[in-house]
Amino acid sequence: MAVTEPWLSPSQAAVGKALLAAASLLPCLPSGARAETAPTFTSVSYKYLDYLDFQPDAERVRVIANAVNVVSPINERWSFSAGAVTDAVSGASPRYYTNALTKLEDYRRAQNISLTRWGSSGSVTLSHARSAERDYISKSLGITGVWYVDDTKNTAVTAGLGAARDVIDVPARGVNNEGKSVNDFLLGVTQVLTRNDVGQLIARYTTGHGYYTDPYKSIDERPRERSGYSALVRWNHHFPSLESSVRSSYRWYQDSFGIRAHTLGFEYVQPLANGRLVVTPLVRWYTQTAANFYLPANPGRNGRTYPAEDAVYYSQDQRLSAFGAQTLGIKSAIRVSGNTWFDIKYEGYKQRGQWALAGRSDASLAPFNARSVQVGISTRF
Amino acid sequence: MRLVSSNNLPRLFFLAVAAAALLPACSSVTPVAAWEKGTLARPEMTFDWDRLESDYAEHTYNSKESAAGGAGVGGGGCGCN
Amino acid sequence: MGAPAPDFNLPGLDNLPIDLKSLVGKLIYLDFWASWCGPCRLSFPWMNELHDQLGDQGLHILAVNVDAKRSDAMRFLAEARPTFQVAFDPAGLTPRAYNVRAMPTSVIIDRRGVIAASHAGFSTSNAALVRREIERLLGVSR
Repeated sequence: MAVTEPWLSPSQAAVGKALLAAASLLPCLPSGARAETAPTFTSVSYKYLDYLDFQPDAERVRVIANAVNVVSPINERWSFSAGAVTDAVSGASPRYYTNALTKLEDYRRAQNISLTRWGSSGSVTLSHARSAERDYISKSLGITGVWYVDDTKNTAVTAGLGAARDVIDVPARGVNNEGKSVNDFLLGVTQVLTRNDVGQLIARYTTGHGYYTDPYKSIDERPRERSGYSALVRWNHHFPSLESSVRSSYRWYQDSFGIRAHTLGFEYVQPLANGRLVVTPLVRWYTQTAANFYLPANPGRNGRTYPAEDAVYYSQDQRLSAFGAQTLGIKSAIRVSGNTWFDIKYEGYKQRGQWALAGRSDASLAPFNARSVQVGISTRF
Repeated sequence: MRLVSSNNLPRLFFLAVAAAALLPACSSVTPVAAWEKGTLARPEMTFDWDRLESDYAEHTYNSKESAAGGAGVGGGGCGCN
Repeated sequence: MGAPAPDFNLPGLDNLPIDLKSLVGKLIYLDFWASWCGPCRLSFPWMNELHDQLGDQGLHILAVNVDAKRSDAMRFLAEARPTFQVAFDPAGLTPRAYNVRAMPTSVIIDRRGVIAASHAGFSTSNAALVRREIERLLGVSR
């Protein structure tokens, strides 16, 4: 695809904002079978993220994030987890496909907390998260239960319920006190298969209503309802002779916007130097169809594309087009002493319209790349 | 097959998950005993290995892709629509 | 419960064999543990206390490790520092013979070699009750 001048560059402001706000879409709780009993260690970890995305014409959004997390027993029946993250987004964004660059800067602060009650046949976790940035506030609540089917504890059933309430305010764009409510429901099973294999299947249903339109796009009007299903299959396999493990996952997704997506990922975990160093390369492939109201660019018109006169919903958000993507990454973790680990991870991401497995891709969209570096430290005592 | 149309697929998945919980009942494989779970206790063999890492992954993918989540509930909304 | 305790012969820390038959006459607290078992970390200080206070009154603690790798067990022991006897069963034959369903599991064997009680898991609240049970079986008055 030879596109010298991208017709439609992802609105950097929208992407930047999305990155900030997307961080608030934290899974409140890890799901499926965790440890069988309350933690006996207190774990503390910190991680730094430096994310940058770009296109051939060098437009960039940079996100710097700092996150901390603590998991600790309260006593033998109760434990809690608490975390906080701050993001800073900066960069330059074109308003339209002309090169008028607008400086972008925003901050986000989010916190989460959860409480778990441990029993002989399972556990229940209550969680709460909140996130605030200049124009977006989100608050959520979740409850998840894990039950072991019998005393072998080889089969765990998970059920979860979550609710999020968001408020969006962008007065400059005429968006005042808009709301969005999203509820989700999850059902999963985790099964120990052999000494070296464990699998997990999770089905999730999400439904929401409210303001879904992107206020930073001039030509964007989205339905006020969105519901979707996803099914996630994960498998961890250990190779005793190599002392290594492979973590595989596949996710199927479909929603009322018309998006259908597949995600396939593999991580290979290889301990070295008697377990003091752990190297983990990873690969992830992703493909999605376009939203049924996505408005493909009209390359003939040297300007914006307008929706049909009778169109109710339309969007030019690149994130709603059909595309495929690939991530390649590598992580190294080193045990610096006792129970303290230092880790560093690099990932490169490429997204291309022509890589979409299905759906009409928008050939006018510029290639989109991203790279991220994460550095972290964690300890337990 | 009409049963497996796009509309029915999600319902089928939920049924499949519920059915999967019955796996141990019909499995002819010897169940793994309590003292044989050392390998499964390794952090890389669990499904919640590095919380901050998976949070950052969700963070960055949700800003660029439309399919969201999959592993947990709640967690709040995002301005990425 | 009430059944004779299955016999075993396992290597100890010095690799010398430990035979259950040789311990007849003592009240045996048999504990199955592993380096990867969280509650085991909490049980060792408690077992140390038991050994210090009741060891000379006929209580014999034997902690059987089921780790596949001895080095993992040794790393745990370096921190836990048990004053009581430890044996190694990487093949897992002893937990199978004692029908262990959870980690850790403790079995109390009376002076005649009969299983008096069995407890799955470890919690400090439960441990207080187990201690009273042991004192009663030892005939220790408080």
